[in-house]
Amino acid sequence: MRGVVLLSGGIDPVSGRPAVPRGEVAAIGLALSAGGAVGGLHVGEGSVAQRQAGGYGLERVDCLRGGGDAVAILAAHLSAPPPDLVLAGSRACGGEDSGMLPYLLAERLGWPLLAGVMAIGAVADGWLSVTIGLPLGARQEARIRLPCILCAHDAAPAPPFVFDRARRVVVRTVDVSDAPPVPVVEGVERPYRARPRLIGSAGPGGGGTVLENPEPAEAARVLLAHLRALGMLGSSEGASIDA
Amino acid sequence: MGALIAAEIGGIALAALAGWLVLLARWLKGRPAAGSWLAGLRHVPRRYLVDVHHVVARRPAAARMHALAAGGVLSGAVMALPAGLLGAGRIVWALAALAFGIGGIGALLVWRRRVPRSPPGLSGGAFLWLPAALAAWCVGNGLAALFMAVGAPALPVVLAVLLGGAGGVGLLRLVALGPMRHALAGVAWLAGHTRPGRFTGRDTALRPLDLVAPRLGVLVPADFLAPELAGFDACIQCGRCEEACPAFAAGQRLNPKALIQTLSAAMRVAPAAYAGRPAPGAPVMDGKGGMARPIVGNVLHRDSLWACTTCRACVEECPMLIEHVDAVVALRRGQTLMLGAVRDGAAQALQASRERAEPGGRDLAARGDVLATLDVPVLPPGGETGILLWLGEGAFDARYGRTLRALVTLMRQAGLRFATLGADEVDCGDLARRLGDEATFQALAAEAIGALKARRFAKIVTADPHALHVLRNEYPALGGQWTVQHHTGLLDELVRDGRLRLERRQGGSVAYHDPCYLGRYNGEIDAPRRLLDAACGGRVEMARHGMKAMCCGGGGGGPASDIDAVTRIPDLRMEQARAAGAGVVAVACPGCTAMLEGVTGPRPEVRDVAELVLAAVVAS
Amino acid sequence: MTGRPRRDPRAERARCLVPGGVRPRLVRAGWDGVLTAEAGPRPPAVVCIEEPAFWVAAIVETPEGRPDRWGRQVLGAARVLAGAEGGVVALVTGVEAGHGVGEGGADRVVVLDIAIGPEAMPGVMLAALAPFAPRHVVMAETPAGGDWARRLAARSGWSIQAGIEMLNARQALRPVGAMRRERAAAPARVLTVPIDRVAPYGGMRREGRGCVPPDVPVLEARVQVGPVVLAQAAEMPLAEAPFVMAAGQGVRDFDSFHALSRFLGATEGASRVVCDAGLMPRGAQVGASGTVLDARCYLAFGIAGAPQHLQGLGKVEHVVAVNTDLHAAIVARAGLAIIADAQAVMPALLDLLREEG
Ligand SMILES: Cc1cc2nc3c(=O)[nH]c(=O)nc-3n(C[C@H](O)[C@H](O)[C@H](O)COP(=O)(O)OP(=O)(O)OC[C@H]3O[C@@H](n4cnc5c(N)ncnc54)[C@H](O)[C@@H]3O)c2cc1C
Ligand code: SF4
Ligand code: SF4
Repeated sequence: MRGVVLLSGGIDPVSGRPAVPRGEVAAIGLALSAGGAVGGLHVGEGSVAQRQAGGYGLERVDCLRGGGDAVAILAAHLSAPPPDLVLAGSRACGGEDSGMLPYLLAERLGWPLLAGVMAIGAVADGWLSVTIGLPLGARQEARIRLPCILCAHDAAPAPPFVFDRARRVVVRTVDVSDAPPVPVVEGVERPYRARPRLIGSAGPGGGGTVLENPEPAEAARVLLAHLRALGMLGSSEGASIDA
Repeated sequence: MGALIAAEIGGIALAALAGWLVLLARWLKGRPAAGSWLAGLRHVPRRYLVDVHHVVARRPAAARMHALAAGGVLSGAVMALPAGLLGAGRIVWALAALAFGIGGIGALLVWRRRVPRSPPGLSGGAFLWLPAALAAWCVGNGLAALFMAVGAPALPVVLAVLLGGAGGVGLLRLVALGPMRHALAGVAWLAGHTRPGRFTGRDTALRPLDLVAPRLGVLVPADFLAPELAGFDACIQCGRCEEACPAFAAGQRLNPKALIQTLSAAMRVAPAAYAGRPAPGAPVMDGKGGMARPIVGNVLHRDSLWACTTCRACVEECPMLIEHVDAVVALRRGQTLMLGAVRDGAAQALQASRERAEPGGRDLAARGDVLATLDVPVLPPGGETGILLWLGEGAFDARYGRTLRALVTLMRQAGLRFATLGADEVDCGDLARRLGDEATFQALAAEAIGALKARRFAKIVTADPHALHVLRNEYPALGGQWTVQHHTGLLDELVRDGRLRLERRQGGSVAYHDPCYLGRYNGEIDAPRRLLDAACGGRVEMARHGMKAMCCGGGGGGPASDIDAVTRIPDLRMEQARAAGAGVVAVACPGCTAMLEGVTGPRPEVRDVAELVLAAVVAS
Repeated sequence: MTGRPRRDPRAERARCLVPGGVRPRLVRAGWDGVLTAEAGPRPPAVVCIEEPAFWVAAIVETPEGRPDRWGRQVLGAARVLAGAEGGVVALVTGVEAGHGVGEGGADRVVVLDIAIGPEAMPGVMLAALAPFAPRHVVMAETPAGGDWARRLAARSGWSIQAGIEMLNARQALRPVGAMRRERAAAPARVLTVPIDRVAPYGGMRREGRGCVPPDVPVLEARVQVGPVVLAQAAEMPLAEAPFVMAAGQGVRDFDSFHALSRFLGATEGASRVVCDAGLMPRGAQVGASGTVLDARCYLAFGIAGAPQHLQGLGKVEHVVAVNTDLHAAIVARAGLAIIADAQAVMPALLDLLREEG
């Protein structure tokens, strides 16, 4: 099976330095687990992040240099000859970061897509079985027709980083013809400012209640009431976010 | 008759030489070392008699034994051989007999080492034959020489020569089996020692790795430097390293002696059996050895590699001057750089080092937050100051923040002019380098050196001995040379200059825990003690202190790799402090602070030297 | 077809029956008036809007029959965009869907079949939304919601702003460039909201009038999804578990500890010292050198709360501690701290749980 992993610009959110986003590392892992040759594909000039992607197991990274719509460029590049599998992270890191690219690409190529993929299984009759990761450790088995696009779950197993691979990866710059430009995103851009999340979603009774040396039975009652109020007990979906 | 003796001794000597050449041929399958091995031969006598003896002599009984046995065996042979060949007077034969006699006493002492009770650090197995072989050689040849001296008839001489010859054959056999191999390999190792700087001073910095070499680090025995291979064969299995090793004491799967013996055995398809203590709890690794066969996971357990705290206690103790830490780091480099086979926690720390220039993954701009209330200036590129304060990784830890604030307060009181690099201070790369990730280390080092070169200052001061070691000893090879001082050194200077006045505070007794990277790596063990003597009453010493101090378990990426143990290393160290009657353990390193503060239950308090000094300072 | 969709009284009535019963739960005000005919209180005042100036759609997942906190926030976001002039239509997916949506701020409700697969979803949504021609479509940035939003945007070519962190009628703000920058722009056609970023609707109840769902088009399926397999608390990955109960050195009675975790349905964790001692597996270690939790609730028995341990509680909302030491660091971090012996509290809690059945 021939797999291609889509690589974004790759910026670390804390340091702003080049880094392969966690989801793309997971995507490389999935691609490797499917077996066969795995290459990376990036629209734009190659950077340190693309080399590092090699460290996770890509043998080759093609950087497509051409102006315009990245989806159109990718679609054109991927159609001749098409790979069996295109993998991506949940969302890019360092650009628009909307997570739209794989969806737009799937729409354009007319391929099916599944997101949140934790593991890749076997291929049978042109169908690939995959496991989808849901919150709270829940899992869902699915089958998808090849060729397809898969978005890796951020928690899918990551392959180890190997410097020897990173230094040997072949990063190739491919000049491609320009695609029609995409409309510029409007609005004002500025440095990110962390905003507190809504309050009032906190638990019951306010914070910092201290109960000193209660009788065990009393302690048990208070604990249980508190856990109940937090919604941690009762139904199997005690995990619901409904507070 | 003289000819017979000469033939016997000469034959054994020739056989030994042949054996040495066989060993040499194997070592030469390793990578060539820088510098000439042959030329190093001229240093061997001095290195043996001064440097090796210096270590051996820490245990007088062992030194006596070794001097008598080795001296007797060799000097007897050296006298008897020409005497037999060229013919000599009775006096010479008598002297030879005396020498062999001394060797015989040595053999007796060798026997006494394991009888009636063998210390647990010593190996058994073939070693149990060593006294017999030595005795046969000395007694046989000694009698032969004696008979020659007194002019005895032929038959006793022949019989004595037979006994001596049997002893000689026995010794040769013990070369193959291990116990006598150190005699031959030791010469080669001392001639080609990979840290010649040790013989003239201190040499503890890791060597930079050429990152474009096809094979990075060590995966198979042939990847080691040739002299290093001789070094592994030079191990005499005395067990001094294992007695000093904190990981071994804590029950982790590491025994430095077993490690060196494993590396020696790894060169051979059919190695002699190892009869010392193994690494605690390690499953038997019975893979096949060979110069081109993988070491880790085959003959050496992975955990052995990652349990090492790089504390150099083993190196400090080794009479053969073997470099355990170099071997560990070389193997780690192979695992990390070529295979990416590191422990999960270490992989996270390395990834953060790569992508965030900080092994904890924190924002570099937040490093100075602990000093926010003190308003320490940040030196911009192109700026100039007196002292550049390197904060290190500890700055991200709230507990260690107290230490840094104490230091800054003291520096202020002494009227020093200083500044930090602010967000331009990247991690120095210590953790990455000890974990074998030389690529990340060199990248971080290049960035740090760049940031430092862009500013002007008289010296760098840091409270982190790991950073100190890297900046002072390891950056020069990468083009960064500065005066780097530990904060205890600086404070000691200020107190001695009278710029800080201390008044001794009475309180519980204080034991100073030497950080490995300040003590063994840099030889600085006095300044902190002088400070404590000036600041606190009642300083006590733990049994292991100074150059022999036991590690807290925090170095070499130990906490990141988190190898299973029976007890935790800091718990052992804290127990030693308790045993010394300490109410306070004085520390001088963020790693030690974290490790020792992590000891649970009632225990001596942990205070940095700077904190104790601040408590004792009086307005001048 | 323009304006609001025609009503199909028969289908609506069928939907109003409680499964297996005949008691209608629908009254005039729509699906929200869950009132029994006579005895109940007077229906609260309801805002009805017939012909709003425009529509804003909210796609609401109701896993438990009614919108959860996040779902109410999605509705709240839609209301912000709708303002006084616009109407909000909620597309709800889930079992027994439809309750509480009017309270949450929806004027109209369309229930979608929960069994619609991801591939068919954009088509179904477009069909359901077509009569409303919504100005905006708001969804939760959940795994499912985020997926639908992107499929919808890709299919329709509508603009999208994923993961907005602040919203008003004129602009939406979202992080870009690896969370290092942010962009404020006019709200896009499709928006997704992370949890706790937009307040739920606090105004007067809306009508929440039920509308007919569209026919589900039959697609040539290229994706088949199986049933969701829920993880048991015991085998849930620690990093994903919502409720973690952990043992520190203060726990000696591990039988009670394990029994309690089973009863409470909590995933087990431990401090490092406990793992070092081999009393709990290494995988259970919480903290800097173990797992960093994403739990809602952390119940700590006999844990001091060393800095390296607390690093593992980064994202935990509620910490509950049982510790003999009032001055333990974990007590300062806890919403509820009980200063008592864990060996006494654990069995007492077990007894209480058993009593209650
Ligand atoms: C580099 C490094 C990394 C580390 N990483 C981690 C990590 O990832 N995770 C981690 O957990 N630790 C970590 N530690 C260890 C950490 O510093 C602490 O040592 C450890 O968390 C303490 O565990 P504890 O709270 O269970 O034990 P203690 O500190 O012994 O605390 C026990 C607590 O139980 C209370 N107690 C005692 N008896 C009872 C009773 N009968 N009933 C109720 N309460 C009682 C006591 O009051 C005390 O508060 C790390 C340490 C270092 C140095
Ligand atoms: S450096 Fe320290 S931990 Fe490593 S083997 Fe030597 S004594 Fe043991
Ligand atoms: S390595 Fe050195 S200290 Fe250790 S057993 Fe061998 S000779 Fe002795």
